Amino acid sequence: MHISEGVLDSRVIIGGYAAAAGLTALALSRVRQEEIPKIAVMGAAFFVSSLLHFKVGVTSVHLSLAGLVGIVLGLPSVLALLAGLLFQAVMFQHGGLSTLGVNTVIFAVPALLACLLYSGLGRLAGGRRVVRSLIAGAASALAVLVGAAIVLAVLRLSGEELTGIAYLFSLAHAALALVEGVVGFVVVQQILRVKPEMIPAGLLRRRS
Amino acid sequence: MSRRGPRIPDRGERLPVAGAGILVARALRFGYPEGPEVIHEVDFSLGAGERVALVGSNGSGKTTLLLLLCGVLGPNGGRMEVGGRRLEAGSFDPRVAYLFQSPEDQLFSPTVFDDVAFGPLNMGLPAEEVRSRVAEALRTVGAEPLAERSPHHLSGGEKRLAALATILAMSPEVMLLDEPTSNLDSRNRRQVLGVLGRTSQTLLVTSHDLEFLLELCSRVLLLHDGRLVADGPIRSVLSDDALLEAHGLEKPHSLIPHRHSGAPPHRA
Amino acid sequence: MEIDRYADLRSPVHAWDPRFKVAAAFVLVLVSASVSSTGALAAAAGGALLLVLLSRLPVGFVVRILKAPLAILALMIPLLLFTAGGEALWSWGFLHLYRRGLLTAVQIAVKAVTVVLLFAGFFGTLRVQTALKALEDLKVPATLLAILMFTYRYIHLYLEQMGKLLTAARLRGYRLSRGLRHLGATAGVVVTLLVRSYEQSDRVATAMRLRGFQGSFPSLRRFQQNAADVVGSILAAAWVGLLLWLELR
Repeated sequence: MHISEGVLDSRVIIGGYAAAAGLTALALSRVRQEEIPKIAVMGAAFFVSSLLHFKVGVTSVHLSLAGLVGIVLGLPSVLALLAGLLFQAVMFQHGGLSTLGVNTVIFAVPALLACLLYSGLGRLAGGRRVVRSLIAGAASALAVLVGAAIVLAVLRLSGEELTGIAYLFSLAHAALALVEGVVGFVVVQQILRVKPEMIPAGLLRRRS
Repeated sequence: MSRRGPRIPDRGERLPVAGAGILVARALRFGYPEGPEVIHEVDFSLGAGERVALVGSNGSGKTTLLLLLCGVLGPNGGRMEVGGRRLEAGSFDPRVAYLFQSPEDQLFSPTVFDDVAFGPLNMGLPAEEVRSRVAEALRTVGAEPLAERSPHHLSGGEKRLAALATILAMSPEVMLLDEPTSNLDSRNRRQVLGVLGRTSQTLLVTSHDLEFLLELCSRVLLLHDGRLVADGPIRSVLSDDALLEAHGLEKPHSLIPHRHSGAPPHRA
Repeated sequence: MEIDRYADLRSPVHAWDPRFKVAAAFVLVLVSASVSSTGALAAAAGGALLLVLLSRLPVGFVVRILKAPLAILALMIPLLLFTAGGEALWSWGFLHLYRRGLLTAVQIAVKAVTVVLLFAGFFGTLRVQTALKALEDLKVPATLLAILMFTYRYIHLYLEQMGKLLTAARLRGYRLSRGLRHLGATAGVVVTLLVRSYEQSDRVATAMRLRGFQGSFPSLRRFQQNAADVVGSILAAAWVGLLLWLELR
């Protein structure tokens, strides 16, 4: 779901950094010091988990887990995603430094939306595990679709000649959305069974 | 049947608590919220420089007790004192240090140096003193060459020593050690034993490695179902077959009579 | 593969003060990725190549670093060539090779390679942890910095753990990367990692509290700059100036 080097237009790059900086500042302003270990340690686990990939035809597709990160970490997920994207560039060197801003937005906005969706609808679902898992699955799938939409927009903004590629990527993302929806459902279902306190409600994760 | 050796209390009876100890627990009680009580009326007093083992079968409450003693958990009843002053749960008291069972939990900084410096820096010490404490701690555990390494590049034994250095740097009076030799090969185990043997702090050590405890400690607290059922010289207590069996423990090899280890013979 | 494998070599780039180096890296990467004129692109690429040469990083290492972006380009460029639209250079039936696609492909390829070479030259010559510490002097908020440092540290632990989980799964017959048949097993690996990390984060938080953590991260490290660092920074600034001039004229 992330965009590689060289493709983006300068205004998009700068705009991406500005938007990412805004989201980061927002997350930093609300984060509590006690949460730092959780954001970092779980962020690391999410990062490693997203390295899991599936061979689909010629290419391999990675899970983005953006929806899940948002559901579990809430607003601070922006910070975990930023860290993950930075270290992805550092550790796998396919670029990603100039596109760090845009990529952060591509992952963070869906993550936050997924969190909002899950918290909002979760309240209506009551305590039923299956329903909450279904909502999580739907949120995960939606997260990928929203991310794909942002990718599409960003590519179109960078040049008309990228339109063809943009639509092809969107197609791939649609398939990914389905997979992530299923994974999100199964993962949340198991977590709610084994460690329900990991997924509290609310965007800011206020502990009672 | 006469008994020599430690006066091992019967159920319900409590040993008289000695006067001013370095680490004192009085009538300590604890249970997790909405859970049963897991530590019942634990009483003991550790003197300065004493090395005391804490043994008990799995589930006896050893780790919970250690977490109470360093203030991570708050007791439901009773009190704890360090050096005569009351220990409040949740407060940062560098006089009591805790070594985690897994060094990964305790080594979270970019380098070993940073990890060892973390405590002294948070204690507000000036930069020069922090540096000298770090150097001293690393020297004590023999980990000076590891200073600039990242924790994930260390071997199991090196991680353990580095974790030990992180708490030594705070110059604690009491060190609570949770399974310090777990997953270590014999060479590393010997190293840890050597380091701990040379320290002057009061130690309270849990371990399933009873031989290790026999070498390091002079006294043992035996915990069963959250109750202190024995408190006495380590060789005597761990030679008591009936006591060990009643509380789910096995006698350490070196104390089995036919091995001529010099331990007092067990009296039937 | 670690970018900082050769961070302990000696070269003018290695010796550059980390703070200046990281700042220069960001600026140059951003500018190089933003230019579109032929002159600026060529100058950016040339400068990146020069940087890598100066850094004395092993050629094989740099080539290996380039493999990943080149693989992505290999996938993207054919698509671009045949979907860009506009004037067609060659046509075979309904398949058209577009002129715009060719130009854009070249531009993207040059930019991508330039940025990755810059990345190698700058970040291959210092340890990741050092680069992170340099960010403190560059006014990155302490909380964010702490998160970055701890995340990096625990990524390695979980990579190891995931390796073991995957091996165990493979031994039970799950080939997690072959298609989607074993999605359940994959989810299981994810859940295991997440639950473990959740529990561990609690213990790490406790460990930090027990060593006096109260919210701030006081640090000791002080970088010292010297004359060579200032010279290097002036050169970097001049380079940026050149790129901008070539782009905007």
